[in-house]
Amino acid sequence: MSTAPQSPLIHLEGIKKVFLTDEVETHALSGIHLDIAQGEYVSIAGPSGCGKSTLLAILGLLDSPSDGTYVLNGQQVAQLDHSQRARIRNREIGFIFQSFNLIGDLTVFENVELPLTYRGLNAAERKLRATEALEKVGMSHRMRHYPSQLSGGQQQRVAVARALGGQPSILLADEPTGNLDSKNGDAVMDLLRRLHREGATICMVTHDTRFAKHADRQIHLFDGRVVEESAGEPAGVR
Amino acid sequence: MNDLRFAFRQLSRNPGFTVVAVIMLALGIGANTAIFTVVEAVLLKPLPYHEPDRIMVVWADNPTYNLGIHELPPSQLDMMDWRQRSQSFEQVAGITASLTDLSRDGGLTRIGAVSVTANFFPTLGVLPARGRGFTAEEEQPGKDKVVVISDALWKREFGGDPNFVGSSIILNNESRVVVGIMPPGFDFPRSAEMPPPYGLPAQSDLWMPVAGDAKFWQDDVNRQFIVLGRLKTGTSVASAQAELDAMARQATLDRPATHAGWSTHLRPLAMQVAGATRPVLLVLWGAVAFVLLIACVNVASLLLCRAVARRKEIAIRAAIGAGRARVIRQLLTESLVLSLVGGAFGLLLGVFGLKVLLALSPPGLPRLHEAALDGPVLLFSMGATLVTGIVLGLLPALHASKVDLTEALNSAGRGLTEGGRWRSHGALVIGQVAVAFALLVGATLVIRSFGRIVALDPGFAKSGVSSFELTFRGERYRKGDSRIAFFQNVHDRLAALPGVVGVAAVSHLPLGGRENVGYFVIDGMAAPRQGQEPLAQCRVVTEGYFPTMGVGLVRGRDFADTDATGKLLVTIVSETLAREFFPTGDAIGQRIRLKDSGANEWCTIVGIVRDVRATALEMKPMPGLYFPHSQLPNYWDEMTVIVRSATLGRTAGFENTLRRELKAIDPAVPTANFRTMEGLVSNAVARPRFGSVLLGLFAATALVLTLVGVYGVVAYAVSRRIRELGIRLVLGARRGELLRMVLMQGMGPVFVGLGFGLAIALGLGRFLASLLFEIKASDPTTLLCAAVGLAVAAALACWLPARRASRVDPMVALRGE
Repeated sequence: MSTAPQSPLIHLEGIKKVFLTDEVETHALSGIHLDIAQGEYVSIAGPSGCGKSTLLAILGLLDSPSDGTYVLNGQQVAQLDHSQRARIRNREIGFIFQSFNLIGDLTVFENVELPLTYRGLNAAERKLRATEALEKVGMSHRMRHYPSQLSGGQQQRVAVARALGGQPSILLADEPTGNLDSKNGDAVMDLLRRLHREGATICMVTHDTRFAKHADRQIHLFDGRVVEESAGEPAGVR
Repeated sequence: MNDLRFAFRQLSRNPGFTVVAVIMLALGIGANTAIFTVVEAVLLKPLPYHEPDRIMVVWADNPTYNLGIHELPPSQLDMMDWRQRSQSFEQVAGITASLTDLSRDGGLTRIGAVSVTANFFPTLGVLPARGRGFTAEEEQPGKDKVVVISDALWKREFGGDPNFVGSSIILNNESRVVVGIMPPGFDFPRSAEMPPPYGLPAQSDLWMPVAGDAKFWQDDVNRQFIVLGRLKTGTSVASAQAELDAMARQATLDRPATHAGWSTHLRPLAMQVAGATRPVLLVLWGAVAFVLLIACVNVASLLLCRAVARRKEIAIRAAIGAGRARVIRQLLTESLVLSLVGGAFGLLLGVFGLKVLLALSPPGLPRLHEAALDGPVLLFSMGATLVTGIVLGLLPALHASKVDLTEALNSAGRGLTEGGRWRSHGALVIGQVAVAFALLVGATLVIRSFGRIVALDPGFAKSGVSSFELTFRGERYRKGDSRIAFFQNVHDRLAALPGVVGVAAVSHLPLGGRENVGYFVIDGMAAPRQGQEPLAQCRVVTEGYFPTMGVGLVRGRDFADTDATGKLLVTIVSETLAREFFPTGDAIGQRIRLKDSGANEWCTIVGIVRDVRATALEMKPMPGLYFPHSQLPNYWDEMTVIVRSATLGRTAGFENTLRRELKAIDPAVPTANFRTMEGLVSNAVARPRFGSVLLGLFAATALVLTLVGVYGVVAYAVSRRIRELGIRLVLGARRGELLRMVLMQGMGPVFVGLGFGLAIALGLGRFLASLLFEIKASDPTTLLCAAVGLAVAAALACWLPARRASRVDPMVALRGE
């Protein structure tokens, strides 16, 4: 068990998410309390439908909680408007998806550069940061290629570079190896582990217990609740 | 057969797509069918005469007169010269207008009649269905009391009496024997088929021989016959023209006084008959072809979208053994079925469109009565339908047949977004925007031209003036005094009617379809070179004509009752005449006389009046000369009475009142052609109005189709890019940025299309030139307005899907996990 930092990067308190479908209430999340410290590597696991993706969406400001408090980097973010959330997403969060979600029309470099464009950085700085990110994932030699010319593992490394380029506070990874063979999956997990060692904060959703063990802390969800922490001291979970 | 069955199944399973595509194709094919029906009747169908390609109209021209008309009649001597000496023509015949009234049952009926030389019917190659035509002998005075009548007149006035040939009828108080009845449908010439100022009837119902003595046929000054020539078999138009040119050069040497500066030119009768309608119809035909093209592009775009959506299906077909040609065949079958259904509805729409077209068409559009959905029209529609089916199906079929099997069959496995597949759509949008822009520019130019013509000041009052023609015939009105007294009587009775504020008469009503142009000489000025004497439109008017007609007096005085016979002969000139011939402004008090014509004594100019656009609104005013009827009562037998009324328009009641009053004055004076100046002005702008209304309609259709196309492409692109848009939002894009991005991407092809459209519009501008008035085809304001209008409309079409794009839920990117 590690000691929880004084001021967590992410602080969730009583987060609830209720979906209304045909007048039927579905409780996707039922009071999640979670702190993630700066530099921590957390994995979230659980069966299908347990609320993993919903929690990740709320963490990534893609969705708003029905109730509860969400503090990111010292800022209350639960009820921000679209524009404010987009700005925070762009600066504070890096996403890594199961199916990579690269834009087919853009080159590798342009894909990585894209979030920096939204941030309004000038071309020189964008180029510097994108190149650095691609070098970090070992893809700088393919920067003029299009995603369709890359293997799945390479595409996921580009997606990681895109997430890193903006130097976010936290990387949110949603089943990052789900579409990869074991060799490429291992390579991506090694990459995440290396990034974590270099100081990155990572929150990863995964089914694979093998990869979940890479994290400092493993959180298990069931029916929208945290039911177990399987590794280390549950410092941030109450 | 399987392809066909599958094609029908595909269409029935996608009713939304099928209905939209069929509507667009039906609009395009229907508009083409309707316009082609008219084009075929007016321009393509051979004239109903024997070997019509050999029939020419022979016109004279003298550009030094700068009349704005290059189709002037030759002299009688010219005509006789060609008849006797030309080696190119089998026949040379002449036609001239003849105001003719038929006496029947105590009443008079104005008949559309022309006087013709005896060989008129052989020249056209049409013989009477009953009886005979004219003999050469009947061109001699005294032997000319014969007529040939139309089938329509025979049936209308004489009940189709089978023994009517040989009967006598009374025309213009003279008895004439009907020697022939023409076949049904023959009604040549008609006023709409010839230049405006020659007074031909709207429909010819009666032909009589011209009879003249040797002096008449040797007249080398007056030009009153429209001359037709039938080329000898095997003679080309060029060689006949060369012979006429040689004869004109010889005539200039032999008779310089009358032929210096004059030339002759041949025009095929078919071209003459189509006349000014030809460019209008060709432009309209081009416009509907553009509409069909845009409709095709839209449907092709829809098919392309479907092809993209059907990539997996096509990949499966290919995977189980379908070759590329087989896939193309399947998709082409679908597009052909679609176009055939569209074509069938288009044909129905064409029938309706033709009715609308006929209702909108200007009066006197030549040969319009021949327009019908006949064999050639059906063939055209069928051809247009098949070509449409192939054209619109080819691109999507080729596109779809090149599908990457591995990628298509495993497309769900990769998280790539679609992108490069939209280049074909972009090209289609560029194409349709370019065509729509060219059409929009053309329509705007024609509509602005029409607006300028309508806004022209004709120089006379456009409303409140009614008119009717009357003709003095027989002994009773032989003397000038009797005519003066008659008009005084007419004036007194009509002026007393309630609401009437002015009554007068004029020999040639502005826009009335007849003009009298004469040479004039100015006292004290050096005689112009022979053949270059100035010309003026000459009118004889009664006192009060100018205020009644609303023609403003600029300087000097109006005619007065003191301008009588035996007193100082006076004239009033138009501003143009005063400006051109008395540039120092000293026209008043100068003397002028007509050469070789009725008013050939010196007349003193007492006034200057405003110019009148008398021949056609868009023609610049010619110099004008006005003479008082009180001094020249016998100058012209046909006069037009004008009545200005503050309250009464052209109502049946007012017309009946006028008829009753005239009958009370003298029932033997024939009256005809009750018209209003408003109606004449409306008729004068009918052709440009027809062109601008239809072109505007087609341009609007093209614009709507284009906007639907742009919207469809952008909306479909957005629907296929939801995932990409979601990713962008996840990466921090603001909604406004997505809105701008989709807008800019949608507008990119639009701007490129505008560039191509500008080139097309400028390139096609020369075809519009004959329809434009005081505006150039490259008018920058029009180009700018059309470009801005189309761009704004396209931006609106892009905005709707762009707004939807900006509202994408970013969660969709994750839902794909």
